[in-house]
Amino acid sequence: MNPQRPLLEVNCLTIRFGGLVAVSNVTFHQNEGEILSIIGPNGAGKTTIFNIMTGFYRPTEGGVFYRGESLVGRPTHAISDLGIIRTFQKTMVFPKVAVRKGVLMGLHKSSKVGWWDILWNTRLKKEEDEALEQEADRLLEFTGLANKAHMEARNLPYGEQRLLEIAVGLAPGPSLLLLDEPASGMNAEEAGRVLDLIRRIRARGVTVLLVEHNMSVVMDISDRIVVLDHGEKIAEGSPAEIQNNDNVIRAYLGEGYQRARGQRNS
Amino acid sequence: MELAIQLTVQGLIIGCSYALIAIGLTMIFGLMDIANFAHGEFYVLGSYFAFTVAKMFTLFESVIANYFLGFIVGTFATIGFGVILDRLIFKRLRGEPLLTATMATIGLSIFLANSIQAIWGHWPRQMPSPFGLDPFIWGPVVMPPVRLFVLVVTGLCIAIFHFLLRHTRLGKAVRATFQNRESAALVGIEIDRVYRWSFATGAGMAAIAGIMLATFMPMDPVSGGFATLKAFIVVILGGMGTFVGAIVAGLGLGVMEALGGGFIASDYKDGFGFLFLILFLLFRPQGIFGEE
Amino acid sequence: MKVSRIFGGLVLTALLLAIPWIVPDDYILHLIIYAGFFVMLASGLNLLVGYMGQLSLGHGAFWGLGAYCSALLALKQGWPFWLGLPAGGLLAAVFAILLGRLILKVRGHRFVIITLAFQIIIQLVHYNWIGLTDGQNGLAGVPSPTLEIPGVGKIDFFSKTNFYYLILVFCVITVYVCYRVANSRVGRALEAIRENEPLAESVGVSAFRYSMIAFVLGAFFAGLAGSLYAHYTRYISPDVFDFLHIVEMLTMVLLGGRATILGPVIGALIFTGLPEALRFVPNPFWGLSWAPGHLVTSKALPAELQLMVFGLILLLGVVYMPEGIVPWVRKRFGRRPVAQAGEEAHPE
Repeated sequence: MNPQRPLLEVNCLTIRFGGLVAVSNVTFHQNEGEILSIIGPNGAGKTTIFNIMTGFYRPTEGGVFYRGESLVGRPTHAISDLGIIRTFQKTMVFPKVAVRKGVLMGLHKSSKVGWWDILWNTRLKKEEDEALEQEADRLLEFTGLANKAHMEARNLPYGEQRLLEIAVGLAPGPSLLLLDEPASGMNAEEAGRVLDLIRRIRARGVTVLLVEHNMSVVMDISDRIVVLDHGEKIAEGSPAEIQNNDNVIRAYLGEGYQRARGQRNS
Repeated sequence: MELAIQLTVQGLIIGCSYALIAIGLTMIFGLMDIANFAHGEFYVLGSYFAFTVAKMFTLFESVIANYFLGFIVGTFATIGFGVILDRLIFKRLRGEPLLTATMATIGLSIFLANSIQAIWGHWPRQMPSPFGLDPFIWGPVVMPPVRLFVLVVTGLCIAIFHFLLRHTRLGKAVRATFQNRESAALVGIEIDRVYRWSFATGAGMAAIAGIMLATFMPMDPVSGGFATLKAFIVVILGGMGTFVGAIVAGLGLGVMEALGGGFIASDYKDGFGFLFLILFLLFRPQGIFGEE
Repeated sequence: MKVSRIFGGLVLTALLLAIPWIVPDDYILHLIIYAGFFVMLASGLNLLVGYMGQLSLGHGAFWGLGAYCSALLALKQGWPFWLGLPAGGLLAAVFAILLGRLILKVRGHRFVIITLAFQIIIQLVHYNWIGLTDGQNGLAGVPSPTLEIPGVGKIDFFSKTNFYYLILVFCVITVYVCYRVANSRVGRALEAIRENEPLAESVGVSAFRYSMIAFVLGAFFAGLAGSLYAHYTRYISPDVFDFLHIVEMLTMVLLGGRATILGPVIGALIFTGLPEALRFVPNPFWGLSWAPGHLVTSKALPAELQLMVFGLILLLGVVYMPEGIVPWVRKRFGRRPVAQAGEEAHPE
């Protein structure tokens, strides 16, 4: 494996839906261990890129490469086998099961026992069950949901449902985690918890790719930012660079943000 | 060839009843997203109400008057009953998951079919027919007057239905709700009223189909199940949620069954519909006219 | 293993073994045997309907296929029951595999109606392929199972007592397998598909693969139950494909307790017993002069009214007690311990 090669490469990615070009010639990369955010006004194509990367859509042109392997054309569960897991923009949990059980469901791929072991509840299965239990508890601890383990997921407050989503996303042990608006609709305190969680996720060695609207989250946590507008990439760089980029300011941040940041361009 | 034409015509007549029942089912599918397994019971109920009125209240000496009295009362009684059911049960079922709603309508159909049998007994009944027995003969086509009646009434119903849908406020409201429930509610359409009238129309059409068919074929309490089944096949073949589809597929199914039964195997006549159903569901799930 | 659990298990086992001696008459034993068939049917069906949440109206077809297969093999080929039984199960499983490949990618109303269409086609074939099935007349004279144990002698399962033990064994096997499957990643995968299919797919659950597992496993047990049924009643007709049977099975699953192991068992017992219990309800129309003639043929509740009650129970039950009796009772009367990876809260 080439250490210089980026973990993720998106090359000239384009997708057309009928007459509408949702993503146009987008190229960027992400290195292992860095936190990359994709931002842009609504409709810029951010979630569409996630959908292409995880096999929900097929691009019209261009490619996506993960550790050098092409992702295009693979079914969703095969892509998740490669270590890429995503969360969704709309809250996706397993609503009527307990939080803990939901995480156990997320641990599906960690279960390796065969039919014989399942049928006879052999020692192998019991040990695996034990290991899964512990892993589930660890994940709940990690995301701060340990005290809500037995609540039905649909009864969790919104912020914690989003945390649960991340916990379930971490369960298969991804090497690249795609988070789709993890902080959306959250107040400052909830967003802070998510931020903290993302940092800890990175500390665990997982590369995180974010799509986010919440600017303070993005600026706070990103190593690099890619900005999209109307399906095209209009800027790429560090948070500081992006904040000062005219194109970005024009398209997205607006004067209000500049004023708030105390940077006024005349 | 002559046989084919005759069979086609016969099939068309049965197809008329399929089409009428299917229109009602389409409405419930399209508006409430419920697979109403009890729909066929309106078909049966209509004929039983009509039969009871025609026989019991021999107000008039003439068979014709009794027949039409039964027809009208039967239809309206079924509509009224349908509205009550909507209020009591279907209102509660809207929004429930598929498993719950479907099983509930199955339970309802068992309850209704057996209620009908409890009240009227299990013997097949037929409406006293005011129509003469001398058939009209056009070339190869032999058509007893009653069957012509079916064609005419079906045509009328469809025409009236079309008119109501296109040119009345309520019809527009129904169409809007069909397209998008939430938007319709947002613009102030009383969804409950739309549902109620649609249910009433569906029940009424099924009742009319039942009464007409009961005029020349015996009807018994278990016919409801078959009617429902055929209606489902028609709705899916035609395209769930399209009225044109329901009509075309209804007539088409009637003809196909007649031809298949006549030329291939009469025992498996009913099976053709199911075979087509499976084929369509697998390879063209949107039906003939549906969109996906 | 907690002491109370072991004790409870022993008591239950003793009770089950002693049933033929406890039960007052042969008819009740017959009912229990009948319930046994439905325990197998409902438990298998529960995997697809309860755990995965997909309504299938075709389960009766697998039951009937197993019954006919086993009966035909015994009558026309002289196969002993012990070969006909697995043959019946396997035939049903094969049909399930073939059908599943075609339809398990479909969801919603369409799936429901396709399974119904399948059941009806199978029924039509059995009615009309007179050469094979003798059509409406059905197949009579299906031999009851016999077992030769060298050195001990021959056991005939003709008597209800003996057959009870036979069906008990198979019930236990069925429930055991379903229990193990439900409390493994298979069970969790099924529930994940039910709760949120795209999310399940994204954590690596292939909905197609697992729905196939549930479908085929359920069909296999239905086929076994069919074979047992045929050799018990010693007569099988296309009535076995009657729509009412599948409705009964579904009711047992849904009102007994979906996505639980105990639910279908309780459901099977309750709804096999219900028609019998209803027989004791007096006919309210008896003696009324205005009552229609066909309703007052006996002092017991007429069949139509019994079915009306059933339909009403089904309708009200799915709406007001959607999870079923067992979960409802659990919620009301106990705080169940945490559901572990390898152990569903199982009171046995």
